Amino acid sequence: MSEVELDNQRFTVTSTATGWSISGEIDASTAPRLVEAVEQLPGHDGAIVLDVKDVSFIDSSGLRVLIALAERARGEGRTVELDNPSTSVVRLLEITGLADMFGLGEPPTT
Amino acid sequence: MERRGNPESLSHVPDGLLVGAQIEPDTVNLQAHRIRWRVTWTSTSREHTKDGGHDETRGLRAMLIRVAARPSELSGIRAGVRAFVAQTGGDDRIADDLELVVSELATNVIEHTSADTISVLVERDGSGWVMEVADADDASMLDRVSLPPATSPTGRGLFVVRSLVDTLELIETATARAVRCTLSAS
Repeated sequence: MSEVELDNQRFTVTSTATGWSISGEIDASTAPRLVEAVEQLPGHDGAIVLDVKDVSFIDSSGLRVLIALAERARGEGRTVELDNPSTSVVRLLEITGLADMFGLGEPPTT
Repeated sequence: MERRGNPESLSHVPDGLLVGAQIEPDTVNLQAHRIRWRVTWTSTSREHTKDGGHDETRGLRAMLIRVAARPSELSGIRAGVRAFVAQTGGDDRIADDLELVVSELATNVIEHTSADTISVLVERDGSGWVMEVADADDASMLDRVSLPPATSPTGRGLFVVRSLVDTLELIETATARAVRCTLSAS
């Protein structure tokens, strides 16, 4: 596991075994730096897991980054999954109907 | 659309109407959020003292934030709105909603207008909270509130706002244009 950590005061990105852990605020201010940060981190095979339990705030500007990550991964035949989504993340994905894109859709009822 | 709340909307409030006092840390704990900008309270709170609101909220009925139209100001704007909601009887749900709403609308000011300043007016009235954010861009913006395709990177901000507020309108005067929204307390 790579010990890459990028601290930009308002958010932190840390490389994990299967993806990245993101904490802090993701808005129009931090989103561009988040993109830069993620690009510096080592790549991952298979599904990319983003641990977002400590994302204290996210708006549509932040969501834009997650969508871009998901689209890029899909182009490489991979997926992006969100792990431990914070209430801020869950709420925004529910409003925008994008939970499925990040593996957070409703589990099938049997 | 019916207007409610204080008739002195952001677009109409000249600087002379504002009480230019610095925020008092013991009144609203804004220092904890490292707010760098000055917050002013509208003198319209005098009217509200008549209905007893002054005692409940120590006279805080409206907050005006004016900061440079830069992304780095967004976090402070959100913290200020959260603090105001907490001081005017709002719970976490209200704070969460207005925080997201102001972030989207202030981002729109930065990305879609040529304004140098973001102005946010938040008022507590009898039924809930009223927020106005200026400048707004052209009047057609409120038509763009449908969701874009899932893969589209942009175009969700106003949809998010409309999902959270009770009313959303564009108000326009000879000097300014603002997005005005309301959120009821219940």
